[in-house]
Amino acid sequence: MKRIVETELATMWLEDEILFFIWKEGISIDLSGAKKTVARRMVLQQGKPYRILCNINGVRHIENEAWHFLSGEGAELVEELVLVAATPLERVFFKYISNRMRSAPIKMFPNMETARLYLSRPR
Amino acid sequence: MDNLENKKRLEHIYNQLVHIANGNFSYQIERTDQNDALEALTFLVNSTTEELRDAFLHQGFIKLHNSYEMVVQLYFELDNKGQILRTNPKVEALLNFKEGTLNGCPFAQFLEKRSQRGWKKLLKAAPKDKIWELTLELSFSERSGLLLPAHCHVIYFPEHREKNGTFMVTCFELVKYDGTDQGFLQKKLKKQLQAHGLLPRPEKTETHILHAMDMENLRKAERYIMDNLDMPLPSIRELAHICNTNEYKFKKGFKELFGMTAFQYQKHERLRKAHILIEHSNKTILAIARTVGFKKGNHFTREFKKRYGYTPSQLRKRSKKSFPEPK
Repeated sequence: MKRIVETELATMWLEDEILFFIWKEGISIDLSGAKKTVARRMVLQQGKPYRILCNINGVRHIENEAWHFLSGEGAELVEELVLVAATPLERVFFKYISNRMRSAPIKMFPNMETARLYLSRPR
Repeated sequence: MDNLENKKRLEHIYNQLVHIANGNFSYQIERTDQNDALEALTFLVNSTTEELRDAFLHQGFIKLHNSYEMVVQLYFELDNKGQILRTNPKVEALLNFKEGTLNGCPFAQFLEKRSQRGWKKLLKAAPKDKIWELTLELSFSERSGLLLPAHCHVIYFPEHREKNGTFMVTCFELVKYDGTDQGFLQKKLKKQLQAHGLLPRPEKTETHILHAMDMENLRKAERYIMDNLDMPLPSIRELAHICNTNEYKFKKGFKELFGMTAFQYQKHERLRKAHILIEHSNKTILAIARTVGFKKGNHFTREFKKRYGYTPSQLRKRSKKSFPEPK
């Protein structure tokens, strides 16, 4: 049974060895929000690194300090990051984070289906 | 793309870039709920501004006392209804209004919508019978629509005799304090840490600095050694004399410049010269050893092997194979 964790800013759950992570629509991420959300993710992962499918559809803004945190400490326990980004704004977010985050490979897909397909490929 | 709203958004980006080009990183462009290319551009310009501002503020130094200072950027004096009585001239410049046009206008008019709501709430809820103060973040909106986020400090003075209640709103900006000698403070800190054993103590050779003059002099000594490879090395005192310096300075400086002592340097060069001669001449090895200043053949062979890993005769054999002598 999958356990869904819901926080103020995001929804996340584990399924088939993949961590699904959906930011909520219309949110603006600040440092404290980012910290809380990452902490929650760490608890869910119980110290084990996962491949993460992260949907950033609808994220409106990410503050500078939050960026620094998310691409640094906030990127711990990430084996591979697959972002779902559809709009130009989200694609810019992807570019921004892929330049900053060096700890894990990052890929971008336009929708959940293709991203999921990519992650379910035999490794 | 051509609708009125987009034109305005584009204009904001344009204005912001003009400000950045002029070295002003105080503004931010107001974000909208869109997620199109224009919004992406807005985000990038805002992030760039922030990055630039941070880069100017601290250049990787540890934050030390006095390295930054706060300067008052904006100062407003408001009446008890929140209307502007007077401001400092910089307000007009920063918010891009003509001189004297701000007086009498409601303060809220120059705030961005969210800050406006916050400000109005504050005006309503605040007690009017005593002095109070608080710090809050307000976003000003300059005339062309760019945002100027600022940490503001609001102070209220209640009615006093004939004077009505007044608000003071000030906002600060953090700037780098040029008066502090960063290098001096860092040196002091380093020394203190070293004194407590928290940092390794500097080695003595590190403290010696070669001056251009010294280098010139040391090269004289090097030249002398090179020209007299077959002669025994003169004493350090004599070498120092050649360099117009003292023994101590000569020893330290030579080692720093050439990475070895004068004696080692002489041996190094002797062996190098011998190597070339063995490879490319027909002189006997003993004669070569004498030419480069070794008195005894076995001493030469030993030193040569230590340096190159093979004996002079091995080298001679090998070079003869690759370059057979003409018959």
